Amino acid sequence: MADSDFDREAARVAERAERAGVQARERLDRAGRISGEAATGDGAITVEVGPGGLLTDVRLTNAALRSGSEVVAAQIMELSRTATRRAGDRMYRVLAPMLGPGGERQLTALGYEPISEDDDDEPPATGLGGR
Amino acid sequence: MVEQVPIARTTRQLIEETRARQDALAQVQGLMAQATGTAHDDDATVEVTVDARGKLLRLRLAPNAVNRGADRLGSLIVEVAQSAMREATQNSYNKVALLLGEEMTYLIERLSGMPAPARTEGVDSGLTVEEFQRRRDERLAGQRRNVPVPARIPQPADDGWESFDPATLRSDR
Repeated sequence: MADSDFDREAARVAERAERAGVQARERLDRAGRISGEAATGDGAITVEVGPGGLLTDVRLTNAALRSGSEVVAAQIMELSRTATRRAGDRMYRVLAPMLGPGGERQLTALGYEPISEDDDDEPPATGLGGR
Repeated sequence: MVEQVPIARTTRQLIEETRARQDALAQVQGLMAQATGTAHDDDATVEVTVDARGKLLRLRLAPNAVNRGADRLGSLIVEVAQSAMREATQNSYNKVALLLGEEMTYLIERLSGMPAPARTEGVDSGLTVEEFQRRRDERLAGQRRNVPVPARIPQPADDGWESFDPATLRSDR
């Protein structure tokens, strides 16, 4: 392969990547801010995370604090897991249609996985306490 | 600086180099997945560990954390998580730089749109969560729903030099 062929191929790959990047940005812009939320059954604790799972909002009530630090920490951990899965599901649904099978694998590797219908998405009601 | 060298490589060499680079890049994802960062507030009432994407791995609240009140504790946890993520980001780039070298790491930072905190201008790595929060509160003053700018509770006098904010100096700008 001559150098010029190699350059042409490299340029084609770069162009494809650029196009995919622009498409992905457009889709994400249309979808708005992607986040995942989860709350305890009584609404005493609400947690919101970004696509990768970073906490963006933690709302607590005084009632939630009455159960003590350890319980609150465990509840927030549990809720953040659920919220992260929901954010990953949204991210997957926005980007997967545009990427095709190869891209779907990439998304899964990045932690953006769809939540299947029969998945238990709800945080367990017991052990999350609060009233 | 990139030195300009005449290209005198065979196609086979180019393919081998490309393959080696692909192998290295394939490891990047794994390295970044392993990176974690931990941060805590000044009083160590909240300690958070996250991975490089920000996912919460561990949250420790000291027994007296609940005394901070519901609103304050909620926002403090978020702020500490964000500090922890900056640590994790730096940690992941440090690992990647060991594998790929500084130049390639800089390229990845630019592609990802997430500069390594150590390279981010204006980010003082010694910024405490409290100070970060105070500046954020100032920025958000008036914008935030139902949260009046929290009155800054005066810290005890033993704060010392760590809490000194150079931004209060007129010459800091």
